[in-house]
Amino acid sequence: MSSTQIWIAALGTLALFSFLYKENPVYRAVEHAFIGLSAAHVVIMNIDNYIRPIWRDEIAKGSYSLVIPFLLGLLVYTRYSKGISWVARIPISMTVGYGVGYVLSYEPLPFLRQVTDNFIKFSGKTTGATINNILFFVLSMSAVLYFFFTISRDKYLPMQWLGTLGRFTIVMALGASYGNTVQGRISLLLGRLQFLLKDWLSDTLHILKF
Amino acid sequence: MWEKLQTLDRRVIYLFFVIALMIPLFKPMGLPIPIGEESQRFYDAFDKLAPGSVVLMSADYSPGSSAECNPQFEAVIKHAFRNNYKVMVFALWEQGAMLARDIAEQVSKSMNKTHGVDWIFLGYRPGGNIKIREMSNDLWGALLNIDGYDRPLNESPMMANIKKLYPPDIDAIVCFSSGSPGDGDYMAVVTDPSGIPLFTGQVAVQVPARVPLIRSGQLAGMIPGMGGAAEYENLTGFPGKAAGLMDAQSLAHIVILGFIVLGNIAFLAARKT
Repeated sequence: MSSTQIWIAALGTLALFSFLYKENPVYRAVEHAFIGLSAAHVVIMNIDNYIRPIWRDEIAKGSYSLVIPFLLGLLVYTRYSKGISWVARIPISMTVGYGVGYVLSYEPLPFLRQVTDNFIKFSGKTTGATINNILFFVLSMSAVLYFFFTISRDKYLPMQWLGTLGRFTIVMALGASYGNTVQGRISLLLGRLQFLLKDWLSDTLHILKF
Repeated sequence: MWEKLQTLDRRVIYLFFVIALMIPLFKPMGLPIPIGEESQRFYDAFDKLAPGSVVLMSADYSPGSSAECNPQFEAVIKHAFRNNYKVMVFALWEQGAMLARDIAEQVSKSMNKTHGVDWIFLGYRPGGNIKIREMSNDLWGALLNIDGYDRPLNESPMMANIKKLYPPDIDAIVCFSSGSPGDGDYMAVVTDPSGIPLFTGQVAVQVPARVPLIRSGQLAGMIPGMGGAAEYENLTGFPGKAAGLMDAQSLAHIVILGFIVLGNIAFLAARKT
């Protein structure tokens, strides 16, 4: 990165970190600039990587049928006109239709593999593996049974026990998820701190001729 | 005192936190980095691929997750180049393409790998699972016959025999993911139906959701977060950024644990009084 880029990134980072002390206009300004730049970047990347090559290499060379989906996509913008906003439903409904078709055709397989993975042999190569397999089965079934409301837990005590065990299992999983989230957020902060202390600081010292 | 502790200004906690993170950055403590099961499994399975294997490395993350995913990407691409795999760098996220390209260019230069022969940058293409499906049927058509540098694919010798994102044209997929589209889409469209291995580098937040997929064999391996990247750097023998940050990570976790314990003690003590 050039010195200018490093300084812009560093000042932007510090401006956003200033929110940790107190809400302030500098933070707001940088936040809005970031949102605007992100949106602009997405638009430009899509135009440069997809729309421009399609027009240049496909439509301009004779694949005129590709103009039809392009025009259908543009119809989404009719939602801004009160009189013809209903037209925007056409491309949206096509997108939804594709989405439903995709989910029905592609999503069951990975999910079913998860289900079949639960059909395990309890006995493992070691005692630890055997205990692990039994625990896995009992805890995963109890977590599923926690959401089974057809049988009354007041009338059938085993359902109550399994439901409680299922709740503990889910809470343990949420705890593991929380721990990983903490780790993830610390990692992101470390990345920024490393940039500030390594790249920015060394560039500053270089400018000050140390 | 206990009530004051419970209502402690969060800015005090931030200050302790930042100090705890900054000290190891200036003065490393050299804490050991034990290798986790997931990273070891990823390394062993990835290393088993034959030389010349075609591997798609998909950088499906944003700059917000780059602190975790960039070290993972760098460690894996170094491993791939060392083993002489043919690497295709691709992204389903806009910024992911730029982040991956910068790393791939830097690493390929340092390891004397030639673009178009040993690796190729395919760039970013929108469409998520639609694009993956299109690529699994006709890779060149889905990429509009150009690579990420806007050069024709027929100028790259390594692409001559790679016409589909499906076996036997490709041998493995590595997806660095911080959300959707990501590894779930590759799994549903390519790797689960075909049986080729899917490796993944995940942000720490998504790790618990991916563990069942490793167990079922749907994921051949996973690098979990920045810690996993540090472990992978140790396994491959290529030092990187992640290993140097683990001291700070460990200290930060200790600080958080300390505050949680203190908060609970304050809560219980306040209840008693």
